This record gives sequence, C-alpha cells and structure tokens, in this order.
Amino acid sequence: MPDRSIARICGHFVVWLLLSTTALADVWVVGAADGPVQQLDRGEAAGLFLGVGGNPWGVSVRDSSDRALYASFYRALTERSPASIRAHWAQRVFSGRGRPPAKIALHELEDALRADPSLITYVPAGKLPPGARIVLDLAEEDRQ
Amino acid sequence: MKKTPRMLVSALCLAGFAQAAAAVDVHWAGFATAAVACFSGDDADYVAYGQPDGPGRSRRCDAGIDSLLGVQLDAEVGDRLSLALQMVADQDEDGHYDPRIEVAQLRWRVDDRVSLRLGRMPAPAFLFSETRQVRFAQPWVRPPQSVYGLVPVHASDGVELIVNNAIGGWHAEWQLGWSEKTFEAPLPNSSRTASIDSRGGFLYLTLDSGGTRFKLGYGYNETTLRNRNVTQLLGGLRTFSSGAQLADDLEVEDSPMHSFALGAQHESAGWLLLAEAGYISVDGYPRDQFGAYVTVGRHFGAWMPYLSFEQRKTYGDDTDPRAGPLRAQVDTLLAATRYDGHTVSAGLSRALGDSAMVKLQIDRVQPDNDSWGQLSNHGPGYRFDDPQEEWLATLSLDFVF
Repeated sequence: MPDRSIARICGHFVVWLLLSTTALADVWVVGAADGPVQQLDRGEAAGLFLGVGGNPWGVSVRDSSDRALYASFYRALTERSPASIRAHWAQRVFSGRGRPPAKIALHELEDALRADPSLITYVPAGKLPPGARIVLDLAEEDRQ
Repeated sequence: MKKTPRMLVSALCLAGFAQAAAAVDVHWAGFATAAVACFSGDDADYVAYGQPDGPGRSRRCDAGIDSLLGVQLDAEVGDRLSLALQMVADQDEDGHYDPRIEVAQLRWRVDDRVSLRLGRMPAPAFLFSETRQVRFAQPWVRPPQSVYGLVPVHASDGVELIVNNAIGGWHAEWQLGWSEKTFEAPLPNSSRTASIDSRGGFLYLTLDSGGTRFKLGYGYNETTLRNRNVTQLLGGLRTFSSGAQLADDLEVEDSPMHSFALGAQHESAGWLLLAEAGYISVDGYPRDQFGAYVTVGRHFGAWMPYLSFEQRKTYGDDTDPRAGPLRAQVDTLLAATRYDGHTVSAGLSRALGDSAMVKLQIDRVQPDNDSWGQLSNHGPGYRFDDPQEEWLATLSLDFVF
C-alpha cells in the first residue's frame, strides 16, 4: 500500500511538473485601431513590455491589473514566471533603467484606448475591446 | 568622507529645486532585507562585503551580515534629465548601520539610445553588481562571494556613458565610464582598516534576447592599498637588497589592476540558469584572483528551489625566498589574501505577493588548505593546514516598496 501511495504522489508530481511548464498562450496584445503600431513580433513585444531596447513607436505600455492574465501573458511572451518578471523590474528600477508599466483593468480599456490611441496592452484571446486592434496573437505565434 | 555630505546636500538641493520647478516627476522606491544567518564554525566567522565579523566564532547567529534597508528617490525633470539618489543602511566596516549614499547621479538621456550619468554610481562589473543590495531581484540570499567579492569597490564617483543598439537579434547595452573611490576596508583578523584608493575606467557590454542575457567587460584601475602593518613589513624588507626587490613587488602603490568579467543568464520554461566568472590581476601582494559560480533554479509557481556551486582561486606564490629573515611575516601577508575555497548552496525561495520573497539557503563552506576562505577572526584552534567543512544557514525576507 505505501508503495502505491508513493507511486500515486510521484505521478501527480510529474503531471504538475508538465502542466507547470505549459505556457498559457491565449493572449492578444492590443492597441488602438488608429494607433501607431500595426503589428509586433514577439521580440518587439517583449522589448516593449520589459523596457529593454527602447520604444521607437512612442507607445504607452500598460500591464493588466488582473493577476492571472498578467501571469499568462508573461509566460506566453517570455516563458518567465511573474516572480521573475518582478525581479527583472526591481533590477531596472534600482539601476535607473526604467519603471514597470502602469496597470490597467480590463473594464477600463475601451475608454483608455479612446483617450490615448498610443496605448498598448494585452487581453484574453477573444475579448477585443471596441476600437482596438490585435497587434500580436501569442496563440497564433505558438501554433507557428 | 567629506564628499558624502556635500553630495547629499547638493543632491537634496537639486531635488528641492526640481520639485519647485513643477515640471518634475518624483518617485520613491525602496528595498529591504531582514535576515539571520547561523554558522557551524566555532573557530572563525563567516564574513561578507568587508564586514568586520559575522556568524560563527563571534556569535552563533548574526542578523547583521545580510540585513539592510535602501531608499531611492528619482526626480525626473522633463523627458531628458533626472536625478537619482539612493541611500542604503547596512552593516559597514565598523559594524555600524550608518546610512550612506550608494547612488547620487545626474542622468541625461541624450536620446532614446544614449544616456550620460554623472556622480556616484554602483560598480557595474557583474550581472547583479548594480543592484547587489536589492536581494529581492536575486535568486540567492546574497550574491556569491567568490565572484562578487573579487572587486572590493562597490560604488565610486565618476562619469558613465550608456549606449544602446542592436547587434543581430540582440539588444546591446554598452557601459563606458571612468570613476574613482577612496575608502577604508577592514583587515582580516584585525580591528584595523586599510585605506584603498582606486581610479580607472571600464567598458561593459550586456546582450539581451528573450530570456537570455550575456555580460562581458573589462576594467582598468590604478590602485593603492595602505595599512600600517604592511607598510612596516615593507620597510623591514627594504633594509636588505633581496628584500627591497620583494618589497617593490609586493607594494600596491598606484598598481595596475585589470579586471575581467563574463556572465550568462537564461530563463525560460520555468528554469533559471546563471553562471559568472571574474578574474582580477593586481601588481602587488593580492596577486591574481579568479572566482566563478553556476546556479540552477526551477520555478514551481511561487516556489523556486535552486542549487549553486562557487569557487575562488588565487594564482601566485604563497611564499618568497627573497623575504630572508622576514619570511614568516611575508607568508602571513600572502596567506591573508588567499580566499580560496568552494561553496555548495541549496536554497528555496517563495514569492509572497508581488513585492516580497522569503528564502532559505544552506551553504556548505569549504576553505582550501592554507587559505582563509570566506572566513575571518580565526581563533587559535583554527586549522589552516586542514580546515573543516562548515555549514551556513540563512533565512531571509526580501522586499521592495
């Protein structure tokens, strides 16, 4: 009996291990339909959201205040955990290389995009706010 | 010491002016670590960052080795100009917690790719050097001392040019600068300090792509190390001809110091891989020193177990026949600058919300034979010829605010 219990625990552990490495990629990076960015590739999006490599479009980058969406987005974009992303920003803040993007709630997006067409953020796939365009489909990128 | 209050007053005046100008955007941020470390050794202390003592022989457990508090003010004047002031209170070489200025910089962003920084800056030698006290941003309870202890200067005054460009698919950041620093460092097994004067230039390149980062660089400093014991010994050596030659070789007086750094970091699919190596070459009794580490970690949600291995090695003779009758004193001086040894670390960290991290790290510390290792305040029972392995356990809470 103890052997079977140990085998079951090991099995759960392996499944958990496999699930924990699976990126949840159903996230769209979005901007205003009349905004300065038409399309981004994964590297450009990672550069913008991590503050590395400048901001040639002059866009206003916003993180989601939804913790689950934040975690899914960064896992899909960079394969890094939320803790790793926060450590990255602590390094940049205290070495004078920038500050993390301000946060925005999903329900505020429609008004925010209307007020600032240069805004870039991300939403769960299938939840495109009115007046927005998809500039990067991370699920599509993963399929390719 | 006179420079620090002057810089602080200037920085505060600038910040005050900036705020009065209304066009200024002021941000406060901070970081802190509350930690306790316990060391198994009874015949020596585990020390880090040039502190005078630590856990071990002086006291079994010590909260002073890693605990610290830092506060940073960033005042942005328009899009191009900003002032940064960072103050840190941690245990200094006197065992006190007096706050000191770690960063006091005027930063001018020339354009999107070029910026110029003037003032007090952290030494940028390794991947985490510029934020070595922001433990929240690091996987360990403290940066591996075999590498981060190689360069004794952590903050200096000077000018730095940062240029960003693209190299292939990589984002490149070049750091070119010149700086100088005069400070006191504690002498191992002594209540005295040594005066260190260092000035020179550096060039570092950081390459980023996705979750991969490489950093490599070179620094050149002219360094002077002065302490009474060494001065007396060199004076004694100069009383006979072979000794005079040796004294010239051992003396660190405007001596060239070359430093080389190479680091790599990769994070993806939950894995963290880190490796760094550093080499410094000094004309004088510290000789050539090498340090390296490798760290592997794995994120499981908020948890991250990690393993680390580090090694420190000194290159150069441990004795010199030219010392004649002063051979024993010369051997002691050379032994006191051998920090050789290796450490194996196992740790577990857990993120607590967005801004805090708790870490438990166990280090197996093994100094090499006839080396001081990462230890100080050796007692009469310490066996330099065959040092025992010792255990260091550290529990820390790191947070940012």
